[in-house]
Amino acid sequence: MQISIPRVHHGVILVLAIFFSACKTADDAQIVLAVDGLSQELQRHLIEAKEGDEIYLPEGTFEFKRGLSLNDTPNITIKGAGKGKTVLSFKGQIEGAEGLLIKNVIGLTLEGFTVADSKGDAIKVHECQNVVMRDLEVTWTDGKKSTNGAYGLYPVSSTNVLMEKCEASYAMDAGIYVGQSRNVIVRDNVVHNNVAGLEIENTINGEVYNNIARNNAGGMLIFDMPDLPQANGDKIKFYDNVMENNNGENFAPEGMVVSTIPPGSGMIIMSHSNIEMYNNTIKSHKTLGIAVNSWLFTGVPYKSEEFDPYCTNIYIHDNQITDTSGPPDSTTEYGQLFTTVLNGKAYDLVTDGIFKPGILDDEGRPTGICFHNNGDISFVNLNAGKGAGPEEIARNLDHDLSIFDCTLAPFDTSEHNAWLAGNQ
Amino acid sequence: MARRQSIGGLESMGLLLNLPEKVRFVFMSGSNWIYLLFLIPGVSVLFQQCKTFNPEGVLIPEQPFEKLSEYHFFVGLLSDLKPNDRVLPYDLNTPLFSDYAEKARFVWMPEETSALYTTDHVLDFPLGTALIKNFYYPIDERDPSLGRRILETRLLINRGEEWDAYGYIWNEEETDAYYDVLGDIKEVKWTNAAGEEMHLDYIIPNKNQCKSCHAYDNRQMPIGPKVRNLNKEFTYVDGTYNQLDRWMEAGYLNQVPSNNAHPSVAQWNRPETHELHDRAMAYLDINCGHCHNPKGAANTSGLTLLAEAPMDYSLGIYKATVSAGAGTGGHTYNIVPGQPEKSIMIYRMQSDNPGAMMPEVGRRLIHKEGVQLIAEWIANMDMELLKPEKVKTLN
Repeated sequence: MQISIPRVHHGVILVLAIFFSACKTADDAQIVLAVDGLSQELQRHLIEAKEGDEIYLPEGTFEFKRGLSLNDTPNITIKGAGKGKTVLSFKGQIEGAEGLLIKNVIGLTLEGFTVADSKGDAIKVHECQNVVMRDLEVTWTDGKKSTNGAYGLYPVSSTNVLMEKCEASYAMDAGIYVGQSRNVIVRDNVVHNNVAGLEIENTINGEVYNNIARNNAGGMLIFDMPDLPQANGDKIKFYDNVMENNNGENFAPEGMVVSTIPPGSGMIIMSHSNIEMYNNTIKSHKTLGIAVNSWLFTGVPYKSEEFDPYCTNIYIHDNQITDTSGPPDSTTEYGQLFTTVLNGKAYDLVTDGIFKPGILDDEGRPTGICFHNNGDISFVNLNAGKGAGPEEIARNLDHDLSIFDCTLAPFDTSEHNAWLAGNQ
Repeated sequence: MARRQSIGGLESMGLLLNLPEKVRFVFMSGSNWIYLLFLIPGVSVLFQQCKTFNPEGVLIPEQPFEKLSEYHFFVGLLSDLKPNDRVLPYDLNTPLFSDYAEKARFVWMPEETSALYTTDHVLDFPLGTALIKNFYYPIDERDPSLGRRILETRLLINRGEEWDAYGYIWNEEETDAYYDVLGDIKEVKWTNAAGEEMHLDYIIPNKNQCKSCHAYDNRQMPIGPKVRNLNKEFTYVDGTYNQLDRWMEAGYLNQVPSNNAHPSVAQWNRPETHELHDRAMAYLDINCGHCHNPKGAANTSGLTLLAEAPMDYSLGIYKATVSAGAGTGGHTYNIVPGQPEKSIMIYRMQSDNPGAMMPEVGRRLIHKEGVQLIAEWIANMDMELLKPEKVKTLN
């Protein structure tokens, strides 16, 4: 071992002084990656990231054999030249269940790039806070395949999430999937050719607006699923969205909940509480416009004591539901019901009629389930609470929309406003 | 700097002398009399002389050394992995499967320190503890004398708040291993115990990936060295002893309960001494439990795969999947008692598609023997007994 005491030169001190003062004023380091070697360098910078780093990606297509990951470092921005211009391609991926996996980052902006052909989920953002996902594209380029990744844009267990101007296509589950999160804004996105276009699941306090879903099997979903750490979703405002022609095939492998979605579904709400759905356009679906269901209708068991399998306080009003025209799907069990018990007719609005015990008032109206002012629509209540077999449904179904004609007071979703104000 | 161990005035002395950071840390980790030498004028001459008889104490720097050899974990030829003084080899009752790689594990703790005995989680190791794990493939599993190829060495160093993970990649000559945050892909070939020629693009993980397994509550932690996993015999150079006894002897364990009734997890591949159920649970615990626990990376799945997990829904029995993606293989439940072929768990263990397989990282090959064990366990589950008493459905 050699030990030497360096002679300190005045010039060195000067340089150091400049260096330190530069660090102080420019806390947020801007890192501009070159085209050459980007596939290696991007992961290196994600590993060695310092708080406040802004990583800029040039235009071009970059191949990755391994999934990319970022953990723990706060206030990180990854910005490309724009979706479709900066393309991170995982076509040759041999490792990693995601294209890009981000975990436990407070302050995250992902903007302006495409993630293509990841073997699993495209971009997973797990346990993060203050997340902006903007102008991103996720896609699988070989078309609708059951071997495509499940989720496209996938924030989960995260708080304060803004997703805007993104595009997601060809996911074999949901193009945009927000799971078990809190304070979420999803707006101005386009989702197409996925199994499910956009899905909000077990999420609390969200606004979903100005999104377009086309050519998926199911356009948009708001689900609560059982046995998850965040047991129930709550308070979602859902407005000014367009669901159009979501008649694509359901190419999800059997066993996934999403594989039970009948092609030709505009919007499905399941087991959720406090949804206000208004001013949406739902058109040209071959099976159903909007469905309001209970988890119990799936027949899949669950265990959680906390989980509420029923829809409560669902207010669907002032939507335009048109051209729900059939013939309905015959590839899923749910779709087949339309043929076996509904004479092959598609419906603008359908409910399984499985409501929380005790919510029926004296006149048989389900308190808190309100379908109001949606125009002249076709409607069926399967009344499956009285029995979920096809014969029982055929016997018990009715078309009485009037018992649902009520209004609900608006609820407050403004919890995210302070954070959002800084990210407009 | 915040993570630095308390070292009294030594650090400031290093600063005063204007020594590079690495060297200052040498002071801290070496023995005390070396520090004293530095207080005497003309120290460097003396130090040069001292070096010949005590340079080899283990050194733990704040930033990773460039080369593995600089830590002095091993003496003699590095690739012999002959441990230095106070560096103890150990192994586990049931290890994580890593593409059939074999692992040589070692532990080192700073002088005068020891780990606190606990059975709740991994041992409470003292600050500065190093866990050293070398990954290698024998040339031929049937004949160890043919040698081995060492690919990588992973270090976990306890910094207090969490552990740092450093990866070292061995050069082709196996003269040393070099720090590398990016990991690598290495082509390996070997002959397995059945005489089959095996080959693989072995993946050395990058630094961020360490955390995909080693995160507990988002803090990086060791997984293996729990009492129940260490409680086994190990053949040391001087004979075969129980590892816990040897750790105590070495002063590496304190507050050990005197009753000698230490828990022990089954050895997954020893049917002659361990029950099928215990072996299966031990296997799931080490291979899955680091993510599938309430504070692990896979907590969003609602699945708990720990050795102590109850035999119920949370273990996956009749549990429908939420976000398994391609991983369902067309099946509905994670485990269907009596029917491994209909169980998602088996499907995902049998897959080598990155989008479907489990575990998600750390393997590319299918662990046939592991699949066989879990399939046998599921096949032998009593279908009636295990039906969850509180399954809720409409009908």
